[in-house]
Amino acid sequence: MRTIIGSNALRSVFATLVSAALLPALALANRAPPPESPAPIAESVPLEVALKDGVPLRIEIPRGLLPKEAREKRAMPFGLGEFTTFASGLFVSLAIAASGIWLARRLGGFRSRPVSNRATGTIAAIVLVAGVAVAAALANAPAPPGLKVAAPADPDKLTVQISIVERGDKVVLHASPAELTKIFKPASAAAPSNAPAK
Amino acid sequence: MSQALGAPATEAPSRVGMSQRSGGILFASFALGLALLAAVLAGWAPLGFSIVTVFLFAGPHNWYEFRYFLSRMPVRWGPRRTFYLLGIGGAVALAGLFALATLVGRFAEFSTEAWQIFSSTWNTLLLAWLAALIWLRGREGKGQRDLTWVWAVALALAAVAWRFPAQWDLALVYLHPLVALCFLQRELRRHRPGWLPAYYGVLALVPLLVGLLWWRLAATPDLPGEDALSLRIAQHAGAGVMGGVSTHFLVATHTFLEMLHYGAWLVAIPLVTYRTLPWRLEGAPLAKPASPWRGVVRVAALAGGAVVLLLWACFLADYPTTRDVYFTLAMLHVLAEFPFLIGTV
Repeated sequence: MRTIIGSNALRSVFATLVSAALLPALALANRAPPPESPAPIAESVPLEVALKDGVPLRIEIPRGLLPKEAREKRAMPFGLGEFTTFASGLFVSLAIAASGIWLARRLGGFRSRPVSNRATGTIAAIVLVAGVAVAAALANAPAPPGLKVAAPADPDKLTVQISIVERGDKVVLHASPAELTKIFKPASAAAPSNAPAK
Repeated sequence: MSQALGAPATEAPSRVGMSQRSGGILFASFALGLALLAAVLAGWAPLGFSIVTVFLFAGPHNWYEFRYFLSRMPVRWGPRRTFYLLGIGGAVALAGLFALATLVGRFAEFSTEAWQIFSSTWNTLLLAWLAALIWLRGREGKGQRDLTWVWAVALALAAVAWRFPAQWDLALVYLHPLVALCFLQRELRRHRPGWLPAYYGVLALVPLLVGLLWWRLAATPDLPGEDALSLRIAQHAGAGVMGGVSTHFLVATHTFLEMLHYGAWLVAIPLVTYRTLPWRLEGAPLAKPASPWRGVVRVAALAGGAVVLLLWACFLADYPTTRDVYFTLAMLHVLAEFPFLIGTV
């Protein structure tokens, strides 16, 4: 009896599936760059204000400026955060491989209708194109956000999203000019009572 | 003569059909009324409604689930021995692992990343367990079905659980209440098939009610409570995971679905399934006089009743802590549902 692996058509399916299973590894090529060597914490840190219309209010803090414990959390045993991405990719690969095995078993059951090499080639091409497309699309995914602050309950309050970024040596406040005015409005409104009389 | 005899013979099924239909409409009206009331209360006072429903129904609904599982569990497992062993063993092991990790995590102060790794690992084990149960189910009987596809699906879902651990956990929190509705559908199919169309009609309105909650509450400010219990309830409903969505909507929706869950287990399933009072166990195969498990079942049912009373006492003494402990230990009943659900497919 001819085994499943012995069939030329199914051998091609297996080869394709193995290739497809390796494709998600390409997406890892876009992983975040390794953090820069941590600089000593400065006692005063410059705050840069980047004004641009339409940008959401956001503060970016370089990881190097964080306290030692917070920096070490990121640099724990081969990056736990990266491990989840690795595990996810591994399971995607295994899922594709398992689908292939299931498909091979299903097709192997229909002995009266053997699969042609042409059909196998078509399936292989579809799987390859889909794999490359997925890998390419993921490669363009944005970096995961850092710390998120919940939406404000009070409409008078402003929500500032704080992101921990890997690079840089100063804290950056991204805001639109309108929001910046909103931030400093209460201070200017309160000023007359506290400011020395001119 | 033949006509005189024939007339009742043709009328009888139509009468049965009429009574089934009117019974179904009555059942659906009651279910719809309960769902509407739950949606209104959940939207109006989500925190208070959540606190009250968990206090009142969390313990009793566990006891009713236990009662239901008793009625579905055969005395002799026969060819399903492996299925039941894996089902019960897996549920106990996974629930134990979850409780242990929660306990250890509190003392050892796990980092968020460590929690994510544990959660994803646990979810992968859960998926492997479920896939094995479904695969075993396919191998039963003469008409064996090739369910090997389930491994591919489980692996793909494991990838999602690793990539989006918080969202995955939240999805389970929201899906769990709906499992009770699947059990209710099974019981209606077994005992009251004529009620099914009306039941499906009510089910179709559930997304509509959630949509109404979204329409009314999605843009409202977050719930005001800053105390530990309010924050814990909001966190359970997805605050922090669903950024930008009002916690008012999240808590209301979760509480509404939980109320449907409690309603199904405490009212609808006993009404449809049992022909006697739920605490009369004689109808359950394991509690029949000839069953060697009769004594164990009776003791377990009594112990379960005592735990319900104890839970109420603990809720009165310290509600927030008891709620946390309850939701950790209640993982067992969540897991126990799966083998019975898969076993009745």
